[in-house]
Order: sequence, then C-alpha cells, then structure tokens
Amino acid sequence: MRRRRGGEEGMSVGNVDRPEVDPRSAMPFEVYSVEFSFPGSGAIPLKHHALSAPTPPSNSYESGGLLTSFLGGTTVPIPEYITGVRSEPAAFLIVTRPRIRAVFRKLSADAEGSYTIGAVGGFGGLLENPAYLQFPVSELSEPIEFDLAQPLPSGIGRFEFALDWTARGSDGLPRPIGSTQHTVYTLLDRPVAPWDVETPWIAALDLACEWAAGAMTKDAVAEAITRGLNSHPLLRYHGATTFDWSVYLLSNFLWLLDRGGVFHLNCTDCANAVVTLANLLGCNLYEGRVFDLTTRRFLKLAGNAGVDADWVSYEWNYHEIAWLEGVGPKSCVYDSCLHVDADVNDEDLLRVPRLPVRMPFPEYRDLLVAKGPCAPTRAPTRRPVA
Amino acid sequence: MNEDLKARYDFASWGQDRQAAHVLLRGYKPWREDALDWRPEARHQLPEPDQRRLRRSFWSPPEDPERLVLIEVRETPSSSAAMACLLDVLGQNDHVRLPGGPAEIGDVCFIHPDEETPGVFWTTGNECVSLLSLGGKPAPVLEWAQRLHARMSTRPHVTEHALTIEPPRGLLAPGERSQVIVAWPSIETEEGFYQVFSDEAELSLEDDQIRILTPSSGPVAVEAFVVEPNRPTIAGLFESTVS
Repeated sequence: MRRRRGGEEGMSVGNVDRPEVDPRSAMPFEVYSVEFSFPGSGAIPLKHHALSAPTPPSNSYESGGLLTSFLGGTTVPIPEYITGVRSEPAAFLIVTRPRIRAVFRKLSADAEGSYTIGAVGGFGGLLENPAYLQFPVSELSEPIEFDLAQPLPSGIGRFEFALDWTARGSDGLPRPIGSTQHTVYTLLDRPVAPWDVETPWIAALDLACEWAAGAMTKDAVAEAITRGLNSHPLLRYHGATTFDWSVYLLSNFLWLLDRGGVFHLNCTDCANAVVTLANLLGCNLYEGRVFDLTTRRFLKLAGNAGVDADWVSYEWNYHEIAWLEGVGPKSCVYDSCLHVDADVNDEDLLRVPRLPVRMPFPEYRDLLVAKGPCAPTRAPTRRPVA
Repeated sequence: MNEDLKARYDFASWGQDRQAAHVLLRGYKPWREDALDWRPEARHQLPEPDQRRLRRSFWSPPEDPERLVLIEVRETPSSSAAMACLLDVLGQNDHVRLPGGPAEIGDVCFIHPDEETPGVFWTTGNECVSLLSLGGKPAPVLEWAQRLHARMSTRPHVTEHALTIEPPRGLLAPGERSQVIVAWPSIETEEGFYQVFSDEAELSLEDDQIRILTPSSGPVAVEAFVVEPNRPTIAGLFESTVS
C-alpha cells in the first residue's frame, strides 16, 4: 500500500455554480498569479524536503553534495500559483480567513481601468474587490489583495479547491478572467519543535493531515496520529532503531512508506513519528524514554488481538514513547507501537487491547510493566528531522 | 558513556585480542557484488556527533519489495571510537543485551536473537556497521556481513606502489602520534573507498588526516590503497624506523 502523494487526493472544496457571465466579449486581462505567503497573511512557510526521491550517490568521498541534499530541500516558491507554470500548496491555521494577493496580466492594449474583481469556488470564493488596474511594461499589474469569503474549516485537513475568477467593468457584467487551482492545509496551531528550526515539509503534512483529518483539538490530533501509525499496514516492530537517534530520519520514513512493502521499526522510531507529525499540526509532545522494565504481555505492532502469539513480552533495555507537554510521573503518554492489555488479570485468557493515547503515565506503567522501575528519563527531546 | 551498558556488554574486553587498530578506512560503502547483487535503492550520508559520518543504504532484490536490507556504516576516527560507537548502537536497541555474533565477522560482533528480524552489528577497524533485515521477508544478513567485513579488512594484493605517502615531519618516536599524508587520488566509482594498513602502528584519523602511533621502537610500514570495483587497486607504501 502506498501513501498518497501530494496533489493526487485531498478534500475537494466548493463545487459551486459559476456566475452568469457575458460570453460576447472577453476581459482584456487575466489572472497571472496567486500568492498566499506574504507578510501579514498568516501563511505557514512550507518546503519540499530533500530525498522525497532519493538522490543519486556522489562519486566523491569529500563531496558535500549528499549532505546538502539531505539537509536541504526547496522552499515553496512565491507566488504559489502561476497560471500554466505551477500550483504549490499553502498552510494556515484552522478557522482563519486567509487574505491572498493576485497579479493580473494584460491581454490587450485597453486593459487599464476600474474593475470589480472576485471569484467563486472553494470556501465561498473571494469577496469582490474594486481595483484600478494599471499595467506597466511588464504587462503585469501590481498585486491586488482579496479576502476569502468564508473562514477555513475548524479541523485538520488538506483541501483542494478551484477559484473561478470574474471581473466587472463599467458595464457591470461579470466576465471570466481565469480559473485557478489551489491546495491548502489547515493546522490547529503553528508547528512546534522540531519544526521551529526546520521549515515544515509538504510530504510530512500530507501524511499528518491524512491521519488526523477532521481533528479539531490537539488531543484528537495526537490520538489520530498515534492510531494512524499503529494501524499502518506496512509497519512491524523490531528492536533496532531504524531511523537513527541523534536525528530523526523522517525523510527515510516517508520514503519507505512511499516505496511500499513492509518494514520494521522500533519504539524510538514510533515515538519520533508521533511527536514529529503531531507537533507539525500544532501539538506539544516530547519524546522520552523509560528504563529498566520487563513487560506484561502486550499486543505487538500489526498484531491480531485474537492470536495469542501476537501478545508478547519483552525485557527491555529502554522503551520510548511520546509524552504530552513534558516527561514526568504525572504526564500523559502516547505509545503507537503497542496495545497494552487493559485486563489486569494475567492468569486468564482474556486480553483487552488498548492503545495508550493520552494515558496517565502511572496507569500506563501499571498496564505495561510486569517488573522493573520503568523510570522516566529526565531528558525529553524533540529530535531534529533530516 | 552508560556504565550499566558497558557492564552488560563487557565492553572492557572488546578488541583486546584483535588487530582492530591496524586497519583504517575512509569512505567505505558496501559493494553491490558483496550484497548478492541486490539493488541499492537509496544511499544517504549525514554527520553524527563525535566526528562520526553515517552512510546509510537500503538494498532490495529486483521485483521483491518485501525483502529489504538497511546497511548503516558509521565512520569514526579510530577503532576504539568505532567500538564506542557500536556500544551506542547496541544501547539504541530495545533488547537488554544482544547475543554475540560469529567470531569471523568483525573485531567485535553482535546479532539479533533468533525471534527477531535478522540483524548484525560489528566493527571493522574504525568502521561501525549495522546490517538489518528490514523488510517483511528475512534476508541472509550474516552472509552479507561476512562479505562486507572481508572487503573492509582484507589487504589487497598489489605488485607496485604508485601512491605517494608523505612521511611525517621529524623522527618517529615510540608512543607519539605522527601524521602521514597520503596523496589520495579522486575516486572514480560510487563504491570506491580508501584503505590503510599497518602491522606495527595504530591508525587513526584526525581532521581527515591519518595518524600513526607505534608503541615501541623498530621498523614501521604503512600501506594505503584505493579500492574500487572492477578497477585496478592503487597502492602506496611508507616505511620507516621508530627510534
């Protein structure tokens, strides 16, 4: 199973009736570009991370080429949309009403003049805006600002929508000036570390918004990400850390999901994924370890609760989980790599799988640990992504 | 370093009866011919703390995405640093203690237990290597590990020494580190790497330059190689006396 790629799917918004337009004469200008990210717009900067498609190896040991590609990537170009050239996504907080900027291109000599310009389409389209358009030598107007007619949804999502633009001249008749296509992500809050030092990745947003689609609270987001990871059909558990520990190789994780085929990862990888993806949508989670524990039987990743062999027990060197707001004996935890047995009687055959989502740590410890102190670390982290 | 982890793995005994310090590698990458001709799907490189360089590569056979091997090679400044690195790697494993691996693989070697996905973790000279069967079907990682270790640790046979090795400035003294500068040529193929051997001197890297340390007086020889698949090996030899 392959994870969807940006642009292939997403929630379509705003299939509305187009306004009646006068077909007899075309406007002397058209939409050239649409810009979401400018000072004061509230847009969250985005980038295409490196290694969404792995780079070819370098010939030279000393070359910095590979390293650059690993830590680099390409920020989304501004303006995001240029007719016939590109349509890049933008991200905003939920229930905000984005303001956009549009530039128009002259099509004939008599284009300069007063117009009322607007659009119908997703999110109610754009409120009409009167403007006097001038076209210098470049034949492109100055940017004109427009407000979305309705606020963005109140939950997490990835939305594709079209805007059908019209302009009214002195005769007051609306005439089409172009149709533009856009993708917008909605986040609960501005991204939290590790995204404070790294521009949010579009591929990570695709995955996080897919798993947490519709979530309206941070608790719901963290739970949805935890469940999304735990229920992913390609993931299996093993003991070794697959995506490094000094950084989190999110690029490799995304690549393997896109590649298809089962792959193994461990608790550190799972905690990294939950924290990194949930925080991308505005949550405030930390990665943190517990040490010295022998577990009760738990349902392993991708296990079938009805199969006794899928209920396993380990003596662990450590176990890593996601913590809400900080690590400590009174914090709540999210563990995407297992279901604990909520039936506390180990002698019978009854097992009740429960995914630890926002579970108070004392309860989690009681349900997971058979022996050992299971002492939390004092050093919570949010590993940088690479 | 975690003392409990050291004790669990008896770290003090690592490398005592081996020649780990007498092999040094730069830029080592697994060769396709050592990997059952599986295809390298992706290779990545990034820096790590403690002057380590991590090279990761994913391998799979044609037409079977359910088989997947991850090879991580962490290049460190010395064999002792490689062993410290291996301890770090083992410390990042959920298992309390992994079983020891076959004696013929590496200077020190551990493996995943039978009930786990196949995995081998070892050091060869200054390299710390992890080889994990990552996919849904197991891969013969022990066989791979033997081939990789052999490639890294085997001194090539050459008939001439065309590579220039600049001798250290001043006299070589017992117990003192000296720098030798190898005029490394550029590597033409993606799988090429550099190898250095010395039977007498301990080898290490400092600022990417080779350092030798000879514990006692006597002759010392350092031999350097540029090793590439399907290309003649280029070699250089430096000989001197420690007094």
